[in-house]
Amino acid sequence: MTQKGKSKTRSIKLNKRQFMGVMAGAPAGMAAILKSGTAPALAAKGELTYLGRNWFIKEFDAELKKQGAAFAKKTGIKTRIDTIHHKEKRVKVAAEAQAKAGHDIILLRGAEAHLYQNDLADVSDLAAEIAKEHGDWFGFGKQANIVNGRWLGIPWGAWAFVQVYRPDYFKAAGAAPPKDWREVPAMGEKLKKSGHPIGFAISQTNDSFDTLYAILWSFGGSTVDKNKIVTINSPQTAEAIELVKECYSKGMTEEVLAWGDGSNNQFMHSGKGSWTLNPLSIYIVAQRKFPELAEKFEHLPGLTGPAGRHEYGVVYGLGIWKFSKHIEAAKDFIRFHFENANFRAGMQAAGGYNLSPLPAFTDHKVFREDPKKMATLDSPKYMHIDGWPAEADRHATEVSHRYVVPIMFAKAVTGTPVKQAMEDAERDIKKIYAG
Amino acid sequence: MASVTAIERPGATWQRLRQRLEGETAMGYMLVTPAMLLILCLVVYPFMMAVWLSVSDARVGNWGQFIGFGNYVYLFGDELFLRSIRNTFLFTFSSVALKLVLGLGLALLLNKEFVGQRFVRGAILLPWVIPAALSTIGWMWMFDPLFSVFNWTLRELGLSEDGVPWLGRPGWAMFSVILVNTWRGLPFFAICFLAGLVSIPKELYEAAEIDGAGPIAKFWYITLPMLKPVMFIVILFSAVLTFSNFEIIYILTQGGPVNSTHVFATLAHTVGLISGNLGRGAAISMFMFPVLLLVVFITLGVLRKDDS
Repeated sequence: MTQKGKSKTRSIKLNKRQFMGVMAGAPAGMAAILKSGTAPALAAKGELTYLGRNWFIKEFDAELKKQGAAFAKKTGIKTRIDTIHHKEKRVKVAAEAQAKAGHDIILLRGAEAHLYQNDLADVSDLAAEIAKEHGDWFGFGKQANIVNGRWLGIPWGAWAFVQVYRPDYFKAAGAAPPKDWREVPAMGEKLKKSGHPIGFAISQTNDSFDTLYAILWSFGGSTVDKNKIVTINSPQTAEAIELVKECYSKGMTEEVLAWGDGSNNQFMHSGKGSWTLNPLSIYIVAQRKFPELAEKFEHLPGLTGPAGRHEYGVVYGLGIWKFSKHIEAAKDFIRFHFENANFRAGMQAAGGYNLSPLPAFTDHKVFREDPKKMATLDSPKYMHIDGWPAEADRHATEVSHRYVVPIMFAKAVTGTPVKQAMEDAERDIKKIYAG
Repeated sequence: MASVTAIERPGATWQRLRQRLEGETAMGYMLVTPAMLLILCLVVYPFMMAVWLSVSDARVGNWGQFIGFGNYVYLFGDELFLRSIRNTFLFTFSSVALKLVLGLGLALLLNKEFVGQRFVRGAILLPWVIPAALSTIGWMWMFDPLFSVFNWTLRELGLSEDGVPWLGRPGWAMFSVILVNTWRGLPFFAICFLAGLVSIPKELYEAAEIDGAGPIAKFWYITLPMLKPVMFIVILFSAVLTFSNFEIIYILTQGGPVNSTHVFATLAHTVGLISGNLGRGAAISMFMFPVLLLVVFITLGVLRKDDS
């Protein structure tokens, strides 16, 4: 009993001391984190990490991970490729910028290089090196990644929003695919009457501004001019809105007001839709999942308007955090990824969905072997990014992230007078640019 | 005591310190320290950080400068923010009111004896138990503009040719998010009310019956007053959680269409994290604090008054 009691007493005392040790250590650890001003690194020591998005073409994610493993094998640098939902990625990137900790390489969308310019490493040397090897970059890559004369991201690719349509439905409805935006309402009317409406998103989703910016610019409208003076409230914008109203009322159903990024894919895959604008994913997914349906799809290039042909480029770049401890290793990985065989393997895995930022890779066999994919190839020449015709900046990104332009169109098609919709957008854009 | 003497002591000062640390008072402090540390790190620190951010022009990656109440002044002139205030109150009041009425009805039904009562009581908790993000994605499919099972049913029954634009029109979108929030929170109300109902002494009803009270009088003069404390607590919890709700609106509408369903939490997320304006995003979220504090004070005040 004595022995037992003694043991018990000692045990309690020992636990108390351990407990005191923990209590002394925890605040000390926390104090160290707070003093350093950065969150503890997520990656294991010596590990190179990449944060990207999940692609609609899953095979590309697998290829990227394969390349990560190959790079690790070649260099001995352990490499981790993380891919998450694209909406979560935006938040994760923001959190990493704030915490000054996280991954080493991040996938940048649109003008994010401008948004995070204080936290991105200068990669001008790498951009020049890749261009020297493969030829100059497309303009969209420069617009998105050159900030104050320095490359803060390496252009990585873009999606072209081309016409995706069903020739069989067009034939049955007696409609012809358009070359000009102004032909769309009449075409849509015929198709809707035949039971197969047309559609593009007029909602708070990325696909909306991919299409609606193209229409706005093709009619001569813009959010701001070259000097960043707000110009959304203009006769050209009014014309663009009137066109979208006509497209909506004659050719679409109400569902486009609630569409997400995948909705037009479902719209076409379901057999209901006859025409939309999208990258090649509708076709490529159909090829891999519903081959018979894929045969029924055709593509045509983007449309022109009174002010010419303009397209919104869904562009991507690769940035390296300035606070990364592996900046040189990150550059090595990007260099490795841009090696001829590796970059082409990525394009092959994506089935041509991701357009190359370098003209040199547009001769890829993935396009030559399937003429249906050729429609996307001339898009890079017409692509602009957020804020065009001004230089991209954080204000332009915020205008897009807050869906100001899609909301303007959505208001107009649901009954708000065009003038009012433009004035509301003008007020919002002015506030964003003033902030 | 024997164990203390058995251990080597480096000096008298150390011994005194150790004795003091091993005393009940010190032990008490040490036991609450982990909880206090957690609260400090996970509640107080983020809260103070949010207060600082809200009075700064911080952007993502840049802690910014102190700008006083600049963000608050800006927000009061921002139509979207003012709309979000209206939306937040509409969303909260409608959801809580629906949960209260339907929850009470459900609890009264579940309090009756019927076959499978235990199974139904358990099953009723499912919406509350399933992770919110998961169940909301289920609802998103049911509201899907193309494949909505509701619209399919409406069409098959010949009630509507085009279906309902659940998430496509402002009014319907607000209705949809309130519906999902109500569906999710209803079991909590029902089960809490049921617990309250079970604890009401049967003698009270028997005495009322002898006095000639009907079902309505029994409900009004016995059930409701006896349930009042439970009701206030449940309303308090639900109001706080609904007021700061994020996931349902974020998943279903992202504040759309045309910003018609933005509430404080989704707007703060859009402005602060997506657009990178941390200061303004923090200021939006700070608006929730006084309102929630007021809800807590009112409810607890009523409860105290009731007790006295």
